[in-house]
Amino acid sequence: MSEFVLLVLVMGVMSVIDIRAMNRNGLKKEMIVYLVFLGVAGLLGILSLSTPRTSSIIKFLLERFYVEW
Amino acid sequence: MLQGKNQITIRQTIILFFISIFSPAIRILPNIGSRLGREAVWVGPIISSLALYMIFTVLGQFFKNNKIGNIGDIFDHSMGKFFGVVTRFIYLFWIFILFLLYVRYYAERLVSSIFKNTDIQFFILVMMIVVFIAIRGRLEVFTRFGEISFFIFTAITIMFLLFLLPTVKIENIYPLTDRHIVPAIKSAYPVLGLWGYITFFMFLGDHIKDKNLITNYRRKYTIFLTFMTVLLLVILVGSLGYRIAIRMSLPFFGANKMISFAESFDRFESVLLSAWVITDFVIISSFAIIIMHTIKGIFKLTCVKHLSFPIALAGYYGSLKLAGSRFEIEVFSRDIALMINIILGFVVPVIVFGIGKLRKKI
Repeated sequence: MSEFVLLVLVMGVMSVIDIRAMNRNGLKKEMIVYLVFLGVAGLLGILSLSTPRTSSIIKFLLERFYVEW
Repeated sequence: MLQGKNQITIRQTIILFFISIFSPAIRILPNIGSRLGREAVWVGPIISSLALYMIFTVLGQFFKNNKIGNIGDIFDHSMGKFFGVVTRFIYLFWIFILFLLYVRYYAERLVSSIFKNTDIQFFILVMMIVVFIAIRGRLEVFTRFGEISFFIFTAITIMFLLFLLPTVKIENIYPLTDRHIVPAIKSAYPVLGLWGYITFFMFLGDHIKDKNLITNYRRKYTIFLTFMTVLLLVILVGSLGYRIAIRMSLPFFGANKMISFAESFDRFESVLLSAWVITDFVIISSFAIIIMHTIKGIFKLTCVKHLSFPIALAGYYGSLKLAGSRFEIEVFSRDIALMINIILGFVVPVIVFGIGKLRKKI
């Protein structure tokens, strides 16, 4: 739970700093792209914190490609 | 030499490429190469040099037109806007996977070699903070760091290889007969898988001042990279033997434990590990910068330094979720990643070149 709080806190603080800087420089398109990729990073964070360490992206891919290991 | 604002030279780009592939080369080539090439593993780079020379020529043809900024623009120019953007997205996805893979490899190596029973989260966090600072800064500063570390790392590697020279047994790598032809060709697979990264570095093309001169240097760069790779394989496989190299996950690290100089200096592996971490930092940061510039090209952005935070954050959590163990990433590298690297690094640029020629766009 504390890791989730830390993730939200870090994302919140850094995004406020970056978005304010982008807003100041009139970088509207950059702001949208930034938020999309921040969302992707956040999703990876939630995925990493909420699922067991034994399940992984590579394991999923190896099973889909029928790689014996 | 000082360059213009955020401009680097093709020489600096190639140096970044050289130092970036050194970390995976000393891990993958002796191991996977020996599995495929046995005693003839050291012939693999010589065969691969033909493909490297060819790709340098193709890239030179791409950048002959001064209006072309980076390799993504070539995709648009040759195949049309739609297929160009789709191809850029495929590259973006794959370079992101490689970025996560190298973050994980770096942490796993530290945990498996020196810092046993330490949580990898700590090493990943430290690396991501340093990468975040590096990629937020100016590109030319990072490339200058790459240049300095390239000379240091080359000197350290040559020193280690010289120390290992007395342990080389010629029967481990020679004689080669006609039954080694197929293994020698097979051993080119991991070499090509790594050398294909040169195409990925061309996404930085907008910032490379003299990229059209790549053709002039192709012979020099190909000979240097081939010579260094052959030397590495001859000495490593020559001293360990291919059977042992197959079974070791870190053959270069294992071979360095054999070094003893003047019967008083030994245990040099900590020096190697420090140099190795620097090259890991270079490859991870390089891929992060390439990701940022690929995004810039796709969405036509003017400034990308703010993307450093989402990328570093994704690098931290993504690398943790990428694999459950070192074994998984090794299998993934061997069976999937090297193959995709060859396709995206060599095959796709050649196809794009062919399409461009047919459509009279190049």
